[in-house]
Amino acid sequence: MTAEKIIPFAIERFERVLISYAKEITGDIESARDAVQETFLRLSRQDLVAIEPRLAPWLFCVCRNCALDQRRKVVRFSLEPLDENHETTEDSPAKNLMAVEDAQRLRGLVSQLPERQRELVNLKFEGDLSYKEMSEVMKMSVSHVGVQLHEALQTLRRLWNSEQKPVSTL
Amino acid sequence: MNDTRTTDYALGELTGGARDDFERELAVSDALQVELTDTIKMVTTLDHLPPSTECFDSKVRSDLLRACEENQAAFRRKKTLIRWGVPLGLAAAASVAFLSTLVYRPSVAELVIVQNGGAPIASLEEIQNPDASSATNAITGPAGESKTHLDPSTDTLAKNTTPQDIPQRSKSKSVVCPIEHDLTEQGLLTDEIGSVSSLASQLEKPGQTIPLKENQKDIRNATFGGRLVDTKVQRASEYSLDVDPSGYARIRAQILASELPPPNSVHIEELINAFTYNYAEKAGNSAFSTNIESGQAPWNEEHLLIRVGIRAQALAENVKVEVQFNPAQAAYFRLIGYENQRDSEKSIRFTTKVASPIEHTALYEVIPVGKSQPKSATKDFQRTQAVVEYQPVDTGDLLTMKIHHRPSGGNQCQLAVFRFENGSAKSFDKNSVDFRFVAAVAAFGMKLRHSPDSANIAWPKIEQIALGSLGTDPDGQRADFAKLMAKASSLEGRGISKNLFKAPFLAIQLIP
Repeated sequence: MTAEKIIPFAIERFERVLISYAKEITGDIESARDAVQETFLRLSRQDLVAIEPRLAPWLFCVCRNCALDQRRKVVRFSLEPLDENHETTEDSPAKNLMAVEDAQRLRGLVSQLPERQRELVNLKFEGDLSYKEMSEVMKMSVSHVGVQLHEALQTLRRLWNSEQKPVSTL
Repeated sequence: MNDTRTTDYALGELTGGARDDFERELAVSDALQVELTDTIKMVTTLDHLPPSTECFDSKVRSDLLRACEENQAAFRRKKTLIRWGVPLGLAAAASVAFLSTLVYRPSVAELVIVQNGGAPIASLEEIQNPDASSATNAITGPAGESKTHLDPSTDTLAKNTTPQDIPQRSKSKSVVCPIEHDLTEQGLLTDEIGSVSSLASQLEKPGQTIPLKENQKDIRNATFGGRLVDTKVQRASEYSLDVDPSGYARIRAQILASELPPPNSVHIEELINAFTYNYAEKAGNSAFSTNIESGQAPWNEEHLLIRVGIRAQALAENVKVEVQFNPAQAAYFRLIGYENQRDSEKSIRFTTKVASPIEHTALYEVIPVGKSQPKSATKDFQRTQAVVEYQPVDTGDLLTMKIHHRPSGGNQCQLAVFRFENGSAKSFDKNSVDFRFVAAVAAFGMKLRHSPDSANIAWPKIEQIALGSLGTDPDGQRADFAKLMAKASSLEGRGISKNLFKAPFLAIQLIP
């Protein structure tokens, strides 16, 4: 990929996932957007060709730092997990994949995870990062990423099954 | 069951042997299969979570994209600048540094020395502050041109000097004090034969550059002792004040042991400087006194012998003496001695340090213009004759002498300049005692070196000159030299017979 195409591609590919990831850290959407804007601006001041092979972990790592900075700045109203009344104002494009209700429930469960595990779930299932890339973003060992992610999945399974609501798509 | 491998396997992170092991266990473990199935369900569910719908609005996105592209363009420019600008900048800096070494001119002060008595006409302070000197009348020419002007009211020998008379800069790396002058002539006194014009100058103008001129090539091409040099080709000569003080003692010991030293081991400059002369004490702030005298060369009446005596008083560093002959007056010159240093230029360029008062004497043999050209010189000049051809400018000076030096502990290089005017050569007998004695020493050395020129003067003549120029000789050194010369003369005279009859002599000696 040529340097000129990297930024448009990065915005196209990672805009939403980064905002989502940042929002998990900042707790509010505006701070998350600011963090992601700053992430892309920082990217634009780098040697894109050198970063391109590791673009995803680089973006998540920088986005994480920016989001943490935003979290320190803003007055946070609540760190409580998203409640079931959380609504999106836009039509979901995931209707074909998962019932909106089930998706909202699962997101709610993810939001109840400890912060690190929550981040790892986002990095894995939204950012599609490998263990190694996640270890770089989170500054932890690869094996610890595996352990933390395993615990996150165990928790989600337990919570999901405790509500005795099967995942509709399965 | 809480096996992290199930998550690793479900996420595709279990590889290699670990995966093989896990699959073997999986095949025989129902519990592991249930665990993996549930994990895969959850992973699949999470994978199919609808992507976040929260994003930038379109204007924010377009603004962000434009800002990013501008940043990236600036980054590329900076990278290009670093890639090319830094090497080019370094190259440019190196070039400037290199060029600056060519045009660098340390501050120069010219000292004014009076030939008779060695008292400076102007102190260093006066030179550096020309207004303080009532005798000074400086006329500064345009950049790159230096002129000297002598106040007619103070001297009848006022003259203008063209820039060619004064080397302004040397390209030679080893020249420590390249110079540029705005000269102010201070005064002039005459001695028995010649005269010394004393010069003073303002300090140099920093940053002023002057193109390399022919006279600067002089210094670069300067050769050293021994050979006759055509002044149309090359008129500068340099020598160091460093002379091995043990040279004469070594020669003396050999002669006293009835052995003539090998010709090439005789360094005439060492013999000359083994004796003390009645040189003027330095005076005032000057670091040097100069004692220049000319007369007929005792081995050739048509040739001039120039004695350049220096008394370096003050703890100077990087001392280098440079003598420039005026092609209008001197057709050829030869620095007597220093033959062995001709090919080791670095050793002669300057005396690194003068830690205590020293005396130094150099002798030049000069063939004045209009005298017969020596046949022996022609061959030497053919090699370089095409290089530079000087247009003689007759200032009346026979030579200009410059002493580059830096006072010990000081930061600035200084330059003392002396001009020696050609006078009507008197007969050798009219010269000073010191002059005649040093001429005898030089002739002695030439004889020992089997110099072709020495064939024109016989041993008895040299002995006669030496015995006639002993002077007060407080320590008997000159008288000892006269005896040594008689011994050498006898050894020289015996040389042939000694070689021819060596075996018979030995045989006779062995006979009881």
